[in-house]
Amino acid sequence: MKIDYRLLTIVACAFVVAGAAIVMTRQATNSAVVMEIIPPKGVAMTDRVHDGMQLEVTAKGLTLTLPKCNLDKYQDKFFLHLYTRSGLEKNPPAFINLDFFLAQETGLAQQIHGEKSCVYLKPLSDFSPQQVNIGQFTVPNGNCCEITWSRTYIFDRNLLGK
Amino acid sequence: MMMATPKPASAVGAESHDRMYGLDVCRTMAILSVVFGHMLQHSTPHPYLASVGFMAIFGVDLFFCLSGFLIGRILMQVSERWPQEQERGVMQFWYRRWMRTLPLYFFFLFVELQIYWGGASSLSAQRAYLVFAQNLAWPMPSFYGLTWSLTVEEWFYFLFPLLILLSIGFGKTPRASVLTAIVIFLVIPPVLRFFLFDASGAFNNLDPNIRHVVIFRLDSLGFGVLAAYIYHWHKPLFRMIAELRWFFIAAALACMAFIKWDYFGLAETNWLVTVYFSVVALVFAGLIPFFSGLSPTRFAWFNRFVKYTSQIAYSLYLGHVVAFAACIYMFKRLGCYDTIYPNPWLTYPIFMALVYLLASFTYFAIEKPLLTLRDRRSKVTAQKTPIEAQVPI
Repeated sequence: MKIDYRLLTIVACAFVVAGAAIVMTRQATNSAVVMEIIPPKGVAMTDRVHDGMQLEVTAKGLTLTLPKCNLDKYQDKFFLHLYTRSGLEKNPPAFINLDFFLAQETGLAQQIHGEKSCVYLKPLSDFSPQQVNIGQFTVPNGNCCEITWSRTYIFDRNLLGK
Repeated sequence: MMMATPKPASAVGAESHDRMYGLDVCRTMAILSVVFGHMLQHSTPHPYLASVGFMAIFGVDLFFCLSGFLIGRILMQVSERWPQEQERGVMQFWYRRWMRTLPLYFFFLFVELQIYWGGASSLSAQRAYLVFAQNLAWPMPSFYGLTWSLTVEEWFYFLFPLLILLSIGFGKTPRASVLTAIVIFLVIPPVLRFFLFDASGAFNNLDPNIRHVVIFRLDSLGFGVLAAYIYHWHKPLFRMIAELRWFFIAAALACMAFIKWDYFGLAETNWLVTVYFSVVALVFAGLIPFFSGLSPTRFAWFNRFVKYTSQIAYSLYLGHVVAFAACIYMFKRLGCYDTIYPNPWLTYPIFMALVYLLASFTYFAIEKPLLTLRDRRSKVTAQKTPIEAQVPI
């Protein structure tokens, strides 16, 4: 069996080039706003958003689930902006600000398949939101704001294209 | 009865320089399942239709196996020359694949950047899409979400030939190298599914975290290549599998019933996720010999429909959601949204007409001219095989 080192080097180079391209394009994707639509029937949209935290959102409420109840990774302030239909009709759109720190919220500890997790609930039904923006942000050197991650959820398909 | 009829087993796998009608049927079924599923998501379907919408997810599985089969056949032919051609052979393969897939992908990527329902986006924000890194080993973002399956295909096109070349570099024959690559593609993704998937109950979301992630899905194409390997090197076995068509059809129905019963239950244990995707891929790969043996029906219009749909399948795949969005926008502009949109029996014919119209336009305006250019400029004309006309993506 004769080993062709030239060919092996070429293959290795191809892998390195592909890896470099991935690393370059993956940077800073956390700050990109990703938008989801909630189906009209109110089916929950579940999303693993940041460092393993799971977010489930319906028109009734928002559930944040932290694996292993590890709050350390979630010290930054959360922004939670609710847009009602009347708020969206304004220019610029007006929102209800429900920003919060997770450490100040009361969570519910649970065990599923032996894994501990903490669930935080944020009821939304009182506001009848058409759109929810949620994420976390920091204020580096007093300059507001650097968004760590964010999600936008739209509840009403009729808002599409508006 | 309009069903295409199976050929005698002896005819299955026979060499032919024409398009294989049965594979066109397979591709048509796959693409129409995908379009149908997304059409339900973009409308207010009748409950009966909504209850069968889950079957659409099998369209992609069928696509993967078919693609693996056809690309596998091409690779088995061209890799025979790679010990001499070395990297030039692989580059030629990539050139032909990328000329086939990239122009239309980038065309629709730029369209999506402008008209995405979540708001216009920018290329810098979505740069992972430039190198198909949007879902390589992490959840698929919602932007231009349907490209997850193309990404799986593109990584297959990239990695599989490299593995063959690597094996040739270690002194193996092309045939042994193809087999090595198949084994790697069949073994690694299930192992990754088993060890990397976090099946801790509440944290699961099957689609973005498993089903749409490239490294977890490459075995689906690997099973298609295995079918191609059997076709190429073990024709009697290929014919025998074709004769087992009822077994594989029953197995496919069982998989569908299982999904209907408890799709999200799949995510509750790692072993189930590990085994399920391999089993589905194996079952659909097992149907390839059956499909490849189908003969045209006696209804010429139906045969023409199948052939045309399979020809424009890639355009249909990339553009159908854009066509839905265009329809909805048009309804609103014309003031008939509230009349038409809630009624699926009015909406669906309009959706389908626009889907075919847009796909025909992009096929004749972008795909076909570039394929002609590719074939004209391709130096190694020997690589152009009749099989290539069959490749869905």
